[in-house]
Amino acid sequence: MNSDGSGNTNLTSVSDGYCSWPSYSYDGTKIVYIKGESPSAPGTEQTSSNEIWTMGSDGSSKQKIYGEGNTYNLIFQRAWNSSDKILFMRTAIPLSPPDVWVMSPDGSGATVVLDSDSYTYGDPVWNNAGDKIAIIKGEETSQNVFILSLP
Amino acid sequence: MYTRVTGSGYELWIVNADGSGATKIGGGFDPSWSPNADTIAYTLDGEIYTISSSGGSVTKLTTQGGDNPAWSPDGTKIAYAR
Repeated sequence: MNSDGSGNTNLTSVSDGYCSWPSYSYDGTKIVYIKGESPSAPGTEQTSSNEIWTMGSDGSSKQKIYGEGNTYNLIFQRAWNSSDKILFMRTAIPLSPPDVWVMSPDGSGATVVLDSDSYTYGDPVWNNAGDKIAIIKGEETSQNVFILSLP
Repeated sequence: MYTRVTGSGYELWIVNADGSGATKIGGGFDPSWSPNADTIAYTLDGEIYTISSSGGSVTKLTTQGGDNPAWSPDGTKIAYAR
């Protein structure tokens, strides 16, 4: 839709399945999004995997770029930086704290940049220069926002 | 900008990049800055709203549901899920 709420346009339809978490490419010509099972309600177990897709910002040229079978993927806002790297999170099913990954827009070169280890991370977002991410780091009794430089 | 979860719901807060000056601007979650940083789109009660980044008046953009708002780089469009 337009930023004033007018001009609603469907980019995906029922036949595309459950699509969510859109994020524009840096140049605005494409959108990366999640296709697959909706997130489970709190307290229930996620049992279905999902995939990462891209399309033109007009809904054209839908293409699966990532989906590794028994995994659950998360896309957040500002996921696509000026160097054409897409930031996402991935975990296996049954769910464990997801790791942070980057990949190219065609799905190639997927690499872990932050292993969840003993922490729970969430909501990573690129800075304007595309060389750092801000991310939530959760610990036992609190969560805080951190900045991480990426090579 | 971040969401703070409280006993009564979700709150939107803005903080300087060095962690100082945390300011509550309203209720909601899934916040997304407009490219010029003047406006924030967010989700509340299953609909999408915008608010000035300095707080103030709220505009309801959707009436048939919506979440996950994401601004286009030129600030003219908002992609969302419904």
